[in-house]
Amino acid sequence: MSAPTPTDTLSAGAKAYIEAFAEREDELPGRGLKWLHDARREAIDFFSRTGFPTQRNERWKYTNVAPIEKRSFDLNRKVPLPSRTPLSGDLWTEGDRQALRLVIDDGIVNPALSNLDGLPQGLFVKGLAEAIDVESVGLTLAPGFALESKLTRIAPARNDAFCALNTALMDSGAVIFAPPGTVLERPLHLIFRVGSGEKALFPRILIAAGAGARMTVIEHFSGPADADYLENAVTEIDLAEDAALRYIKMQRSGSKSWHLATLRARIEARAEFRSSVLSLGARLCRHDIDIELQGEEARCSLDGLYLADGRRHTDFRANIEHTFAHCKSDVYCKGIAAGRGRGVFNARAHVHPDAQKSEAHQTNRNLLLSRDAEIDTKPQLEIHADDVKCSHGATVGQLDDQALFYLRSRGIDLESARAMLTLGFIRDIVERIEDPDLRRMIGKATLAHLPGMGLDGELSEAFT
Amino acid sequence: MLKITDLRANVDDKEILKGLNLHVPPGEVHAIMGPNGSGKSTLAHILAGREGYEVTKGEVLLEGESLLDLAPEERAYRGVFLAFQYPVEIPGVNNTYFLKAAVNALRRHQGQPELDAIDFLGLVREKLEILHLDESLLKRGVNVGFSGGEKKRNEIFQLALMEPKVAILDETDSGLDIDALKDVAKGVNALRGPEFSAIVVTHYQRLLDHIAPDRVHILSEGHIFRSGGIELAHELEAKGYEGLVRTEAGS
Amino acid sequence: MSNSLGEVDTLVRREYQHGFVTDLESDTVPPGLDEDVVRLISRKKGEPEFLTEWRLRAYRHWLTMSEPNWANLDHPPIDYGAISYYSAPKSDKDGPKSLDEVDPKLLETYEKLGIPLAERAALAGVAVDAVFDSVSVATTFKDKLAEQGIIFCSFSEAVREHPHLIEQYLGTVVPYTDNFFATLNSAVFSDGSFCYIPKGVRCPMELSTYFRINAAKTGQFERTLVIADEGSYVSYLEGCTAPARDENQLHAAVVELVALADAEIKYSTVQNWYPGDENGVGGIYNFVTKRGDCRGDRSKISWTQVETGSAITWKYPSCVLRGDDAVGAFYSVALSNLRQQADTGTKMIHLGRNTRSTIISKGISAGRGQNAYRGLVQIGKGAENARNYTQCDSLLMGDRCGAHTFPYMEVKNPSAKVEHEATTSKISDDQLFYCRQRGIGEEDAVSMIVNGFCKDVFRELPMEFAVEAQKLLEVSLEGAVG
Repeated sequence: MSAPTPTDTLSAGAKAYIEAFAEREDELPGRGLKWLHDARREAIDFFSRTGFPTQRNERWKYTNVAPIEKRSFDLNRKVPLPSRTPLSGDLWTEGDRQALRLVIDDGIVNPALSNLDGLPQGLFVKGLAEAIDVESVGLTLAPGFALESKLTRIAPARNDAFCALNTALMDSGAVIFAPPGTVLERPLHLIFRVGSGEKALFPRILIAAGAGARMTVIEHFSGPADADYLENAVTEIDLAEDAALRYIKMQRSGSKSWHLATLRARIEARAEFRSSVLSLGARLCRHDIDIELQGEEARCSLDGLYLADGRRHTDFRANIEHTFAHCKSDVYCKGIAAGRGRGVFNARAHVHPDAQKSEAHQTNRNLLLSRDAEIDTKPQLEIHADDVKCSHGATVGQLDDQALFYLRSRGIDLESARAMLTLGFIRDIVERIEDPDLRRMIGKATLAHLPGMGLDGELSEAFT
Repeated sequence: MLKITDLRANVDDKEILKGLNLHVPPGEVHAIMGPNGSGKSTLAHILAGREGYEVTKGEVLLEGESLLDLAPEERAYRGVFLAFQYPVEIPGVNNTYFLKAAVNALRRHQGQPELDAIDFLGLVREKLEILHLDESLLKRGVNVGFSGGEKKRNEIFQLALMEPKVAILDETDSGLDIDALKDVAKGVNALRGPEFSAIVVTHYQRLLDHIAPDRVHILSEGHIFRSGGIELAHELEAKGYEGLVRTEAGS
Repeated sequence: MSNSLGEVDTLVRREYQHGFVTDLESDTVPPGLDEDVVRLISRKKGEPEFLTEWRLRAYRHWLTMSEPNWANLDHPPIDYGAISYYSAPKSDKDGPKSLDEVDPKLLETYEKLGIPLAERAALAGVAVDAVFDSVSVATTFKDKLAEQGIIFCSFSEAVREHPHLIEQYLGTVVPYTDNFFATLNSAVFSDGSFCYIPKGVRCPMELSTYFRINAAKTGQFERTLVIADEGSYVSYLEGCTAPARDENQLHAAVVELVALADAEIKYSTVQNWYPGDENGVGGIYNFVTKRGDCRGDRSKISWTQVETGSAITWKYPSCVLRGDDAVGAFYSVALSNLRQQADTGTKMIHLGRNTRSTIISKGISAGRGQNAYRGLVQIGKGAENARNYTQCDSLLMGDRCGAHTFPYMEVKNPSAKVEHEATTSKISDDQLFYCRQRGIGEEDAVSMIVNGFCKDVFRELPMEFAVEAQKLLEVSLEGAVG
């Protein structure tokens, strides 16, 4: 098999990825698995036809990825040795040495820092390459679990260039499977750290829960402040009937990095997917979320927070397919744009014919705090059934003058009053995280990213 | 303590205060009564430094120093407290947190050490007692989901915490039942002393039965139209504003 | 409920009341479009050179464009070569001098449509500039308006009598390069209405235009231009019904409004063109570009529309809020029944300081209708203290229809406040039961609830229009319960 020929309409930047695939094709994990190799080739074929999206593509109307295309990240990274020099990225769970965690440094599982002791019987957490390896030699990871039926199947590389690139080039990440009925009481942290250098990383995460299984998974991304690197991540989630997943994404990537994340979830009858996606770092960040509610009474709630200060650009897109009756979806997002930042929101709920008794709600509230900042928001409802409860609301505004005056009349100076109200604005996103320890951790981390609001230590008490 | 001289102020180019004079000596409580639109709330807001009012003439001195150029928080540090007619709801901002920030900001500016959580809680509990406020209010957002009575009690609770030199109560009695009214009065009376003055803005004599004022002023069309003792409030109650104006015109 | 549904079903099949064809000889050019046709149209209308050239520039630009496909619409491709781009009633040759001279058959048509042109008294105070196909045939109340310096006439007449105004304003709100349909219109527009309100004049009556589409395979390319000079006021009404036809008819109108400082324009539309039958056969394709330019400080433009007709509606009456303190508004009721498709909404472009806009959109979907609200609120960098409030609600009647909402908000100024709210619901069984328990029949209850749903929009319509709109809605919805 020869590498696909890039069409002439593609930019040199796009061709570099295709060439990198051709060069690395044989060393990528799963070369021996036909289904996986086929999926990779299909993906790169798709990318060869489309290249990077432009703003003429409605899904990318407000986000320009041309700067990514123009950069030449290190794509021919040979599989490196586990990093000898300590990485600067946040270890995140540092306060809790017992915390369940899989630490992935520059795409390589770091066993010394990981802790997977005490997982319930049958529940497994593996690095992606390791998991693929097991299947490559003809073994199964767990009874009743086949990687082939999930990996690249939940997020097929059919309609998005970044998902396609990740599929073609993925070489790191994690595979998590909770067998039917398993309950993981403690949160599991996936900690992605990045060293220096202008590299491109393609992490792939698969989270599968069997019928009635329940767990909490946190993805935490961080990296050096000064490195210009690309993270192109894809998370696939598969929830069987009655399963429940609490998912939290902390995007705290380095402030010069590019973070493009795709999340696809398949949610069966009565299963529940609750997610909170917090975009706090990176110079450009995009979360592209697609949820399929695939059985009656499936539910999802997607909370989001994005901070666009400095020159940060952040884009939150969510699409929810209501295919069956009695499903519920709720998107609740808050955004702050300051400095020269730009925040973009788009959520779409699509209620199919006969998906009666559907409930779909979208809320997007934004604070626009500076003259050069911008907010673009586009909630969307497409409804083909009549017995539904659907609504959306979006606002763009400022801190309330009356509230500011009230605080100042109580002796709180203007800057602190602003900080306090900004905090008040985002607070409920953090408070909707049920686990008190997680809530505290996330609250504290979030405060550290609030745009130049002069937040002092005292404010951090706000989340205790 | 507080001296207002020939105060004139506009809102949207319309003159609301038309040469108002008022002197509240230390330790005194003055009531300002007046019909709707007479400028009572405008006066309260201007004293606290709300934006949107244009002072065209006159001065306001607190202990001999001018207030008018100061930011709202600076006025608060100097001891001006406004109990709002419509306390503002601030979703997401925890009431305790807000109170502690306010008290400590004040203490910082008075050169006092800030209170730690334990001391603060002690202080709060002591004051809550006086106002018959439920401790659960502390955990909610500032004024969010409070009943009308709870909001007003919360204002007086803050008054008690901040111990200002001059308190302006802007129609704190409106919408209160008799129990709440008594609690409010109790809160204010507890602060009375040689270092504390208050301006009680109200429509009715009712509140004044519980907070006995040293002076009563009738505000009409942007200036003090009559001043007197508590008997003026009784006269007003009997005759109404119209009647009072007519009496005045006839005399 | 199944019993009443059956009865209701027969009601749905009630034929379009306005479906008949007037047998008139038409002066129609052969189908197809090239530069010669554009020149011919211009020559037939005796237009000055600048206008002929403008049309040609538009035509040449149009050749470089392709039909937009982003709307939530589905229709067979339109063969632009099969359309005849000019049609005028034969009897127009000599031009009627007064109503008495108007072809009685034409007047009869209006009678059937329920527009008592010949009984103007009945329309108390409403001046009617009726458009039959492409040529204006009668204008009333003109003299009375002329006394105050108000010009209200057909577009062709304005080109002859007031070429300087046309040259000054035409294409300044909707440039000929604007979009595929507006560009086509710019090349081939046949006629339309023109209105100019001089400085400080308050137009003493509602100005009204009724549009018809009649001759087979005849595209309609209306062009309307309303100019409100400083400090003036005008309320303009536009209404339409059309005869039933099996072949789809294209309508691509352009409306330009200009409000100078302190001027106010209220533009109201009731659109009731033939929607096609229950199988989606026939019906008007309505691709309209409507835009108002609040050019002066403190100017106001409001669009109110009740859209019950057409097989396809593609229409976004917009306001460019250029002047400081300018105010824009959009009030819309759009109904899609049968197999109708509506993709409609507005754009509010805030450029000036303290500009304000309000959007109230009510979409009703029934049968197999598809109804989409598509709107853009844009707050420019310089639009200090801009405010927008948008509410768009959808009502679903039946499980085979669709309701869609696509609002875009782009905010670049930190003093702006933009709020958008949308809900989707159906008439609840509880509501219906409650009404019926109180003795209100199902049809009446539905119409009552729907009218309540639309109240915020109807309130904006002039009285006589509001009544007509409610009636239209009732007729259009008959039998849609279920």
